[in-house]
Amino acid sequence: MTRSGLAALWGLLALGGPSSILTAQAAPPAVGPERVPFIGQTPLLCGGAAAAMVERYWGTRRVYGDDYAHLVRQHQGGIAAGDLRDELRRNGYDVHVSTGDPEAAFRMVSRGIPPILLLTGGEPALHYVVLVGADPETAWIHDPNFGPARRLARRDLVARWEGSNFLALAARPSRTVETAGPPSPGGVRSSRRPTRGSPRPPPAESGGASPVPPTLDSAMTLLRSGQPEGARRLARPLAGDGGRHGGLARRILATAAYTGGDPLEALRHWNALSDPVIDLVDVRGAEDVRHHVLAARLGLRPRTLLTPDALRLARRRLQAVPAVETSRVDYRPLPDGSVVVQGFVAQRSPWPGPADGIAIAARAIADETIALEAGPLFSGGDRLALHVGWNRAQRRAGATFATASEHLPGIVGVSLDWRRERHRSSSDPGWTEVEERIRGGFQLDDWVAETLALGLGVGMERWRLGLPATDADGTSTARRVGFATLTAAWSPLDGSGVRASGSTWAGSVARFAMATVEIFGDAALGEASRISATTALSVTTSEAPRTVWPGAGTGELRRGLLRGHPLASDGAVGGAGFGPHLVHGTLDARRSFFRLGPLEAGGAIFVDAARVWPADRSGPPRNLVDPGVGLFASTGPREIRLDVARGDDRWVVSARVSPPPPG
Amino acid sequence: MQRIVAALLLTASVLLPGQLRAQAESPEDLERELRSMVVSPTAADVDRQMILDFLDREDVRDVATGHGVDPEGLQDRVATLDDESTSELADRVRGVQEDLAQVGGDTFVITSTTVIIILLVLILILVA
Repeated sequence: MTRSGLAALWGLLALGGPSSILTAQAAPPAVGPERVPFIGQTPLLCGGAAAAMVERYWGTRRVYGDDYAHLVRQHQGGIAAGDLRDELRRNGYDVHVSTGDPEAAFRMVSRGIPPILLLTGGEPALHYVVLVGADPETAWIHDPNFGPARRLARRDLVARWEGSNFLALAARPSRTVETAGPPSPGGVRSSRRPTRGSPRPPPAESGGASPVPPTLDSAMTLLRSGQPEGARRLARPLAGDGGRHGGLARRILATAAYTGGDPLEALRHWNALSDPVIDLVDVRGAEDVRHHVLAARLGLRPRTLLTPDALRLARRRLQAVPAVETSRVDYRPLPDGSVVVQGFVAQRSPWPGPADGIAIAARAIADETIALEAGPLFSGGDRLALHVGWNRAQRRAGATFATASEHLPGIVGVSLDWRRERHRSSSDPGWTEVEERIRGGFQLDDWVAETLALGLGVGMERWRLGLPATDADGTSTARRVGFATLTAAWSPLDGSGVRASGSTWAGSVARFAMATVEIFGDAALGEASRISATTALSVTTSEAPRTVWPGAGTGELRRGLLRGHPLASDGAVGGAGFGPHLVHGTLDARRSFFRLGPLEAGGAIFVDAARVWPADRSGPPRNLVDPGVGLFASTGPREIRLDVARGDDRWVVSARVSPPPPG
Repeated sequence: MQRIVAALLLTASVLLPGQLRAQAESPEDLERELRSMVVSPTAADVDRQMILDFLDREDVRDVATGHGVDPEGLQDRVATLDDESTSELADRVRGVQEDLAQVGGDTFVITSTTVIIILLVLILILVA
């Protein structure tokens, strides 16, 4: 027999003998990462998670890694391959255990069977994974300890696998239960495979055929003919009725909403019937972020009810992960009435790319600041941001590391920031006074509801200049203050909402505070035009050093805009828009002249306005209004803007790059 | 009178099939049927899969990587598009494919590689 003939026979035997030989004629498609559901492991249960993935691939529902927990041998740190084989056999699978031949497993993948491999030499030392795809150079594995569809060079996989002598378990349903056949490529699988457990009791009144009201039957007719709206109109009046028919009306409403493209409304109707239960949470697309982290961020657990509010909140939370550029969270109904929650992520590039390089260069020229971002660096969905600024009025340097964690709520940020600001003396405009501080802080932010995000920050600052050198008793002391910040953002729509923050500093030499409320909105005016408005009120207490004062200028030293009145001149902060209390607002209307995908360019007209209260009420508040025009070029969230604004007696040209660096 | 007759006919056209089917189907049957309806891929699923299948073709992947485009990254971005954007993108991809299919003849021949590049650029523009 030739080598290839032997290999073919081995492959067929691996499928379980003659029964599989008969079914092998169906020539199922190759496995492919997207066709195998992913299940993350809990401690010591990589084998259980791998087996559950394989079972789910073949159509079994509600099976999880924990279902194999009884097989764990604590002293061996996991599940023995023989125990895994026997358990799969008890669950109705033909299992073939192979050793010594890595190519056999790759051949199985091409025949539609995802084998379980036992890898070595990593962390943990012995680790089960599922081989879900392969080509001549590359292999894809579902790693229960990291995530789905991990891509690695085939030779690297073989090297990690060699230590177990290429131990592989190939399982497929035995002949007695093999009625569903291989899963369909579209990811929608037959329900004829067994289901483990039952998340809810069977429907009430299941016995006997009761007549269906004609209205509901007509609604079904409309639904079948692709008229979900008509079906909803007919079923709605009956949805409030109790009993079977009310429930059926609800299901028609839910189905009509789902097929009509409104999955959230569908959930609302299903929820009235205590459906649907989450069968699985599966997040794809983040190659460098652990699945556990992303799944934890969603806050959706298997075996719990999926509600519209929970789904909306999950969308907000996933998008807030620092390493996530764009995301989508949806659900897919399963034949048994449960759902799979599916998250899709496009991860940020770990290192700055060409477009980032342009933005970095533009910011360096316009703002005298270099800001770089990188990450994920540690598989936690993290992002590191560095910035350094050399404007003579404000020198600064800092770093912020923000990450998600499966063990912590929200997004955790740690920051270090040094700042030195020169201010024009209030008593003698010819003099300047310098303030300098370094701060270290810890920040926790999270969406607590679909429209509400909260944040808490704490840390310490050490002031070299700017705070008194002595305390109230006249004793020389270290100029240290602790600070705490609370933030809240209410955002019912993307781009619109209210942000509020309050910070307080306390130490032996000074106590001061600051509060800001900002209202912002953004609306489209046709396809090419947008209008946005922002207004903010900031107040500080009388003891606050000027480094924490609010300001409005050309945007490089403070975020408020008053583009006809720069905040800094002659290397010192002290423009007309600078003071302890400030209200400022901007109305900006823009029109795109050129648009090519994410690249957009156009013009804008704007009005900036501010009301500034001087320190110590030394004079009346000053009102300032700066109209202007500008040009913009943007790609995605990055924007370069060039503006000309009319100040008191002159035109001021300014440029800035958005978004601004943190801090 | 004509309005009454028309209304009766309309009502009958909606209700009569229901009356006839009611004798054959129980609530349990209808619930099963409803579940099967939502299991079927939605229009957005079909559109998304069409684009992903295109990006997954071996020749497309070869062209993409040959021009410095990461096909997996592009697929990830397509997967994150909402339903409306997906349908819009799918329509454009189909439109370009149809337009290109009509080009040819003796004077102007577009190779498959050119078609792939054009479609890749289109997808990149819309999702990047």
